[in-house]
Amino acid sequence: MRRVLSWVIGIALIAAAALVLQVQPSEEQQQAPFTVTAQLGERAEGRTHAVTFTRAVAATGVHDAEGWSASGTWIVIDLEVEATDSESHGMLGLIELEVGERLFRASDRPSSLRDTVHAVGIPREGSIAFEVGELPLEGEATVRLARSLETRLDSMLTLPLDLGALEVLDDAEIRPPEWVS
Amino acid sequence: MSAADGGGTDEVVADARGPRRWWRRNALWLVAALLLVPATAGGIAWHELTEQVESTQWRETRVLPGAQIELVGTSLGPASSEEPPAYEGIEQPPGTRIVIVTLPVRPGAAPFSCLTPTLIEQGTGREWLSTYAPLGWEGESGCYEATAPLVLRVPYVVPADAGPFELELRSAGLGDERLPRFVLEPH
Repeated sequence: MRRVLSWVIGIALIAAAALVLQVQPSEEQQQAPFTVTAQLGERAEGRTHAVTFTRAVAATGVHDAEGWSASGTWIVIDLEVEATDSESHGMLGLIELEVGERLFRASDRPSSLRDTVHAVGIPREGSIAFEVGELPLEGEATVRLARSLETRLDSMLTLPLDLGALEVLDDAEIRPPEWVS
Repeated sequence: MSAADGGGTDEVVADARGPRRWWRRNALWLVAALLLVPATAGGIAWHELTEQVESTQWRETRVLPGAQIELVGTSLGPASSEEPPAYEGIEQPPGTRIVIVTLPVRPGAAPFSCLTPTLIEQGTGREWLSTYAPLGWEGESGCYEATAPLVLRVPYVVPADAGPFELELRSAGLGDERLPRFVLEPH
């Protein structure tokens, strides 16, 4: 009887250990960024930057303040950004649009807010633009901003989008960085 | 229960006599555990704490307003700041003010090099870099192998409600010396 009990307890412990291994977070999950999600018009504050997304549109053509223009399918986001702790890493090193399995980086072709070194406590406004090729405008997408491409255990500011619900313009303006007045 | 699976008659008898005997038999190990478990926890906590303190607290030497400090033979300070209502040549965003910080540097026998200092808000630790080379700005914002006395004069643009500040000077030549942080008198 006692021997049987020992076996039962032993097997139960091994099963419990296997269960713990199964449910413990993976390394990727343990190091996942801290996501702060904002809707349009809401302020989201992370470790290094604070952002307010103010407008999201789709467009079949875009132009910037310096006269550059392009056709194709674009997603243009207007936003206000400020650094919150230091100007030494004031730039947003990661600006991307995630659509399902696909990732689009913000385009460096127009003059935009993309490469701005942000000031601490002094917000700038402008646009970021994603050239999305032949992407059908439907389904969910996420705009993601972070201090650097290394996002592990850092904060990430996100804006969920419904691509099908976006207003589609013939020509959208990509605004250069300006101080928020 | 037979002697064969109990490991000996004595033990069986001891078990039968109840728990008091068990405590007495294991007294040494119990006392050891009682001492070692807290000692281990304390040791780990101490290690983590000292590491934390060393990595965050060692960096600065605070220099009070009006005071000077000598670093690797170079005399620095006293630091002072002024806030002109506006400065021509600096693009001033709305809702901000300009802080111009002045720091005398008097090198000793060895030449002294320093980076442009950083303006740090007391309490929050938010830090501002110098406003990049505005047109017509006159003033040294850093020094390279300086042997003659000079005065650093550096402008910063900060939010209207920010402050009070400290000025942190970084220099390649300091080695293990702490970075000096000059406390600036609030305006």
